[in-house]
Amino acid sequence: MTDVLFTEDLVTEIASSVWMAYLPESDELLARPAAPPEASLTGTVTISGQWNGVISLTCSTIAAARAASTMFAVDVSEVARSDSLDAVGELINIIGGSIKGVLPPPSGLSLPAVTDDATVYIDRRADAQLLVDVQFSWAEQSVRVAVWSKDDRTLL
Amino acid sequence: MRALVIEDSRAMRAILVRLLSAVGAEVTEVEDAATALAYFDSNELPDIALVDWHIPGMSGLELVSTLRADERFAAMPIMMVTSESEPEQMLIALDAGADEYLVKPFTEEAVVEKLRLLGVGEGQPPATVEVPRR
Repeated sequence: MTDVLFTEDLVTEIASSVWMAYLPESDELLARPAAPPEASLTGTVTISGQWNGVISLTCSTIAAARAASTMFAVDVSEVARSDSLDAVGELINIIGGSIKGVLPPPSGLSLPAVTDDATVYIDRRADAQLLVDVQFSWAEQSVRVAVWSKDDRTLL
Repeated sequence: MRALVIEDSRAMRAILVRLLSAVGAEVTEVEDAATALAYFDSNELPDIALVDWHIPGMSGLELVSTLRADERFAAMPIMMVTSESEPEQMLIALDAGADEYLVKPFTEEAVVEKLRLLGVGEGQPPATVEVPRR
Protein backbone atom coordinates (compact mmCIF):
# COMPACT_ATOMS: atom_id res chain seq x y z
CA MET A 1 0.00 0.00 0.00
CA THR A 2 1.70 3.16 -1.21
CA ASP A 3 -0.09 5.39 1.31
CA VAL A 4 2.03 3.94 4.12
CA LEU A 5 5.12 5.53 2.53
CA PHE A 6 3.93 8.90 3.74
CA THR A 7 4.94 9.71 7.28
CA GLU A 8 5.36 12.91 9.23
CA ASP A 9 9.10 12.22 9.34
CA LEU A 10 9.31 11.95 5.56
CA VAL A 11 7.35 15.15 4.98
CA THR A 12 9.36 16.97 7.63
CA GLU A 13 12.66 15.85 6.12
CA ILE A 14 11.63 16.91 2.62
CA ALA A 15 10.24 20.29 3.67
CA SER A 16 13.31 21.00 5.81
CA SER A 17 15.68 20.15 2.96
CA VAL A 18 13.80 22.50 0.62
CA TRP A 19 13.91 25.29 3.20
CA MET A 20 17.63 24.76 3.81
CA ALA A 21 18.37 24.82 0.08
CA TYR A 22 16.41 27.93 -0.86
CA LEU A 23 16.00 29.84 2.37
CA PRO A 24 19.39 29.07 3.91
CA GLU A 25 19.94 32.28 5.79
CA SER A 26 16.53 32.36 7.37
CA ASP A 27 15.21 30.86 10.58
CA GLU A 28 15.02 27.10 10.88
CA LEU A 29 11.79 25.38 9.89
CA LEU A 30 10.56 23.88 13.15
CA ALA A 31 8.14 20.96 13.21
CA ARG A 32 5.69 22.52 15.65
CA PRO A 33 2.53 24.52 15.07
CA ALA A 34 2.60 28.29 14.93
CA ALA A 35 -0.36 30.51 15.60
CA PRO A 36 -3.05 30.16 12.91
CA PRO A 37 -2.57 32.85 10.26
CA GLU A 38 -5.12 35.53 9.52
CA ALA A 39 -4.42 35.07 5.84
CA SER A 40 -2.54 32.47 3.89
CA LEU A 41 -1.53 31.25 0.46
CA THR A 42 -1.87 27.61 -0.52
CA GLY A 43 0.07 25.92 -3.26
CA THR A 44 -0.86 22.48 -4.55
CA VAL A 45 0.56 19.96 -6.97
CA THR A 46 -1.07 16.72 -8.00
CA ILE A 47 0.67 13.42 -8.51
CA SER A 48 -0.84 10.93 -10.94
CA GLY A 49 0.23 7.38 -11.55
CA GLN A 50 0.23 4.25 -9.41
CA TRP A 51 -0.52 6.62 -6.54
CA ASN A 52 -2.83 9.59 -7.01
CA GLY A 53 -3.02 12.50 -4.67
CA VAL A 54 -2.49 16.12 -3.84
CA ILE A 55 0.39 17.73 -1.96
CA SER A 56 -0.33 21.11 -0.42
CA LEU A 57 1.76 23.84 1.15
CA THR A 58 -0.04 26.52 3.13
CA CYS A 59 1.97 29.51 4.30
CA SER A 60 0.82 32.56 6.18
CA THR A 61 0.99 35.55 3.87
CA ILE A 62 3.81 36.88 6.03
CA ALA A 63 5.77 33.62 5.66
CA ALA A 64 5.13 33.64 1.90
CA ALA A 65 6.40 37.21 1.64
CA ARG A 66 9.50 36.35 3.65
CA ALA A 67 10.20 33.38 1.41
CA ALA A 68 9.78 35.55 -1.67
CA SER A 69 12.03 38.19 -0.14
CA THR A 70 14.84 35.64 0.17
CA MET A 71 14.27 33.96 -3.18
CA PHE A 72 14.09 37.25 -5.12
CA ALA A 73 16.74 38.93 -2.97
CA VAL A 74 14.59 41.97 -2.24
CA ASP A 75 13.48 43.58 0.99
CA VAL A 76 10.27 42.10 2.33
CA SER A 77 8.65 45.54 2.05
CA GLU A 78 9.20 45.39 -1.72
CA VAL A 79 7.64 41.96 -2.19
CA ALA A 80 4.59 42.01 -4.47
CA ARG A 81 1.74 39.54 -4.19
CA SER A 82 2.87 37.94 -7.45
CA ASP A 83 6.28 37.36 -5.88
CA SER A 84 4.70 35.55 -2.94
CA LEU A 85 2.57 33.44 -5.30
CA ASP A 86 5.65 32.47 -7.32
CA ALA A 87 7.65 31.64 -4.20
CA VAL A 88 4.95 29.37 -2.79
CA GLY A 89 4.49 27.80 -6.22
CA GLU A 90 8.15 26.94 -6.53
CA LEU A 91 8.38 25.62 -2.97
CA ILE A 92 5.41 23.26 -3.43
CA ASN A 93 6.72 22.23 -6.85
CA ILE A 94 9.98 21.07 -5.29
CA ILE A 95 8.33 19.51 -2.25
CA GLY A 96 5.94 17.66 -4.56
CA GLY A 97 8.78 16.53 -6.79
CA SER A 98 10.66 15.17 -3.82
CA ILE A 99 7.59 13.31 -2.57
CA LYS A 100 7.02 11.91 -6.06
CA GLY A 101 10.57 10.64 -5.91
CA VAL A 102 9.71 8.14 -3.17
CA LEU A 103 6.76 6.72 -5.12
CA PRO A 104 6.94 3.76 -7.45
CA PRO A 105 7.28 4.92 -11.07
CA PRO A 106 5.80 5.90 -13.36
CA SER A 107 4.02 8.95 -12.04
CA GLY A 108 3.50 12.48 -13.19
CA LEU A 109 3.68 15.80 -11.38
CA SER A 110 1.39 18.68 -12.29
CA LEU A 111 2.44 22.27 -12.56
CA PRO A 112 1.82 24.06 -9.25
CA ALA A 113 -1.31 26.08 -8.55
CA VAL A 114 -1.34 28.74 -5.85
CA THR A 115 -4.37 30.48 -4.42
CA ASP A 116 -5.57 32.45 -1.47
CA ASP A 117 -9.10 31.30 -2.27
CA ALA A 118 -9.95 28.73 0.38
CA THR A 119 -12.92 27.51 -1.68
CA VAL A 120 -10.69 26.45 -4.54
CA TYR A 121 -8.38 24.69 -2.15
CA ILE A 122 -11.23 22.75 -0.55
CA ASP A 123 -12.68 21.81 -3.95
CA ARG A 124 -9.37 20.39 -5.04
CA ARG A 125 -9.24 18.17 -1.97
CA ALA A 126 -12.83 16.96 -2.39
CA ASP A 127 -13.15 13.22 -1.80
CA ALA A 128 -9.51 13.05 -0.79
CA GLN A 129 -8.16 11.31 2.26
CA LEU A 130 -5.75 13.24 4.44
CA LEU A 131 -2.67 11.09 5.04
CA VAL A 132 -0.20 13.47 6.65
CA ASP A 133 -0.53 17.04 7.89
CA VAL A 134 2.64 18.56 9.33
CA GLN A 135 2.46 22.00 10.89
CA PHE A 136 5.67 23.99 11.02
CA SER A 137 6.73 27.20 12.62
CA TRP A 138 9.07 29.39 10.60
CA ALA A 139 10.09 32.62 12.27
CA GLU A 140 6.89 32.30 14.33
CA GLN A 141 4.84 32.07 11.13
CA SER A 142 2.64 29.17 10.11
CA VAL A 143 3.76 26.77 7.37
CA ARG A 144 1.83 23.57 6.75
CA VAL A 145 2.48 20.65 4.40
CA ALA A 146 -0.20 18.04 3.79
CA VAL A 147 -0.50 14.92 1.67
CA TRP A 148 -3.92 13.84 0.39
CA SER A 149 -4.66 10.59 -1.35
CA LYS A 150 -7.34 10.07 -3.99
CA ASP A 151 -8.46 6.77 -5.41
CA ASP A 152 -9.63 8.18 -8.71
CA ARG A 153 -7.06 10.19 -10.70
CA THR A 154 -9.82 11.73 -12.80
CA LEU A 155 -10.85 13.71 -9.76
CA LEU A 156 -7.51 15.45 -9.52
CA MET B 1 30.76 32.01 -19.32
CA ARG B 2 27.37 32.77 -20.84
CA ALA B 3 24.43 30.79 -19.54
CA LEU B 4 20.84 30.56 -20.75
CA VAL B 5 18.29 29.64 -18.07
CA ILE B 6 15.02 28.23 -19.43
CA GLU B 7 12.63 28.09 -16.47
CA ASP B 8 9.03 29.21 -16.04
CA SER B 9 9.23 29.90 -12.32
CA ARG B 10 10.39 33.44 -11.60
CA ALA B 11 11.50 32.37 -8.16
CA MET B 12 13.69 29.57 -9.50
CA ARG B 13 15.06 31.83 -12.23
CA ALA B 14 16.02 34.36 -9.59
CA ILE B 15 17.83 31.67 -7.60
CA LEU B 16 19.68 30.31 -10.63
CA VAL B 17 20.62 33.76 -11.87
CA ARG B 18 22.01 34.62 -8.45
CA LEU B 19 24.03 31.40 -8.20
CA LEU B 20 25.35 31.56 -11.74
CA SER B 21 26.21 35.25 -11.51
CA ALA B 22 28.13 34.52 -8.32
CA VAL B 23 30.43 32.22 -10.29
CA GLY B 24 30.96 34.83 -12.98
CA ALA B 25 28.33 33.90 -15.53
CA GLU B 26 26.53 36.30 -17.82
CA VAL B 27 23.00 34.95 -17.52
CA THR B 28 20.09 35.27 -19.92
CA GLU B 29 16.75 34.01 -18.66
CA VAL B 30 13.69 32.92 -20.61
CA GLU B 31 10.52 31.28 -19.39
CA ASP B 32 9.57 28.86 -22.14
CA ALA B 33 10.92 26.79 -25.01
CA ALA B 34 9.53 29.01 -27.77
CA THR B 35 11.38 32.01 -26.41
CA ALA B 36 14.52 29.92 -26.00
CA LEU B 37 14.39 28.76 -29.63
CA ALA B 38 13.90 32.34 -30.79
CA TYR B 39 16.83 33.38 -28.65
CA PHE B 40 19.02 30.70 -30.21
CA ASP B 41 18.05 31.87 -33.69
CA SER B 42 19.22 35.42 -33.09
CA ASN B 43 22.08 35.16 -30.63
CA GLU B 44 25.43 33.50 -30.25
CA LEU B 45 25.06 30.15 -28.52
CA PRO B 46 25.60 30.23 -24.76
CA ASP B 47 28.29 28.17 -23.08
CA ILE B 48 25.57 26.24 -21.26
CA ALA B 49 21.80 25.95 -21.28
CA LEU B 50 19.97 25.08 -18.08
CA VAL B 51 16.56 23.64 -18.88
CA ASP B 52 13.66 23.00 -16.53
CA TRP B 53 11.66 19.88 -17.34
CA HIS B 54 8.21 21.31 -16.62
CA ILE B 55 7.68 24.45 -18.64
CA PRO B 56 4.47 25.52 -20.38
CA GLY B 57 4.12 24.56 -24.05
CA MET B 58 6.98 22.46 -25.33
CA SER B 59 8.42 20.66 -22.31
CA GLY B 60 12.05 20.93 -21.32
CA LEU B 61 12.57 17.34 -22.36
CA GLU B 62 11.10 18.02 -25.81
CA LEU B 63 13.29 21.10 -26.09
CA VAL B 64 16.41 19.07 -25.34
CA SER B 65 15.44 16.52 -28.01
CA THR B 66 14.75 19.30 -30.51
CA LEU B 67 18.11 20.93 -29.87
CA ARG B 68 20.02 17.68 -30.11
CA ALA B 69 18.36 16.91 -33.45
CA ASP B 70 19.94 20.10 -34.81
CA GLU B 71 23.69 19.87 -35.40
CA ARG B 72 24.12 23.56 -34.52
CA PHE B 73 23.59 22.61 -30.89
CA ALA B 74 25.61 19.39 -30.88
CA ALA B 75 28.41 20.82 -28.76
CA MET B 76 26.35 23.05 -26.46
CA PRO B 77 26.27 21.65 -22.91
CA ILE B 78 22.73 21.19 -21.62
CA MET B 79 21.84 20.65 -17.98
CA MET B 80 18.34 19.65 -16.94
CA VAL B 81 17.28 21.38 -13.73
CA THR B 82 14.20 19.70 -12.40
CA SER B 83 12.19 18.40 -9.49
CA GLU B 84 11.95 15.05 -11.32
CA SER B 85 14.13 13.04 -8.97
CA GLU B 86 13.62 9.45 -10.08
CA PRO B 87 16.56 7.66 -11.73
CA GLU B 88 14.25 6.64 -14.58
CA GLN B 89 13.54 10.28 -15.37
CA MET B 90 17.23 11.08 -15.23
CA LEU B 91 17.96 8.37 -17.80
CA ILE B 92 15.20 9.68 -20.05
CA ALA B 93 16.73 13.16 -19.94
CA LEU B 94 20.23 11.87 -20.62
CA ASP B 95 18.94 9.73 -23.49
CA ALA B 96 17.25 12.82 -24.93
CA GLY B 97 20.61 14.57 -24.98
CA ALA B 98 21.08 16.32 -21.67
CA ASP B 99 24.69 16.30 -20.47
CA GLU B 100 23.96 16.76 -16.79
CA TYR B 101 20.99 16.54 -14.46
CA LEU B 102 20.47 18.75 -11.43
CA VAL B 103 17.68 17.77 -9.04
CA LYS B 104 15.77 20.38 -7.04
CA PRO B 105 16.30 21.18 -4.26
CA PHE B 106 19.96 21.79 -5.04
CA THR B 107 22.73 23.58 -3.22
CA GLU B 108 25.12 26.19 -4.57
CA GLU B 109 27.89 23.62 -4.25
CA ALA B 110 25.95 21.16 -6.42
CA VAL B 111 25.54 23.76 -9.16
CA VAL B 112 29.25 24.59 -9.11
CA GLU B 113 30.17 20.91 -9.21
CA LYS B 114 27.90 20.25 -12.19
CA LEU B 115 29.42 23.22 -14.04
CA ARG B 116 32.87 21.87 -13.28
CA LEU B 117 31.92 18.45 -14.62
CA LEU B 118 30.75 20.12 -17.83
CA GLY B 119 33.94 22.15 -18.09
CA VAL B 120 32.24 25.53 -17.83
CA GLY B 121 32.21 28.16 -15.11
CA GLU B 122 35.45 30.11 -15.08
CA GLY B 123 34.96 33.66 -13.87
CA GLN B 124 33.81 36.52 -16.07
CA PRO B 125 32.06 39.75 -15.12
CA PRO B 126 28.48 38.88 -14.07
CA ALA B 127 25.46 40.29 -15.83
CA THR B 128 21.87 39.25 -16.43
CA VAL B 129 19.44 39.75 -19.29
CA GLU B 130 15.76 38.83 -19.33
CA VAL B 131 14.20 38.09 -22.69
CA PRO B 132 10.47 38.90 -22.87
CA ARG B 133 8.17 35.96 -23.50
CA ARG B 134 7.07 35.57 -27.13
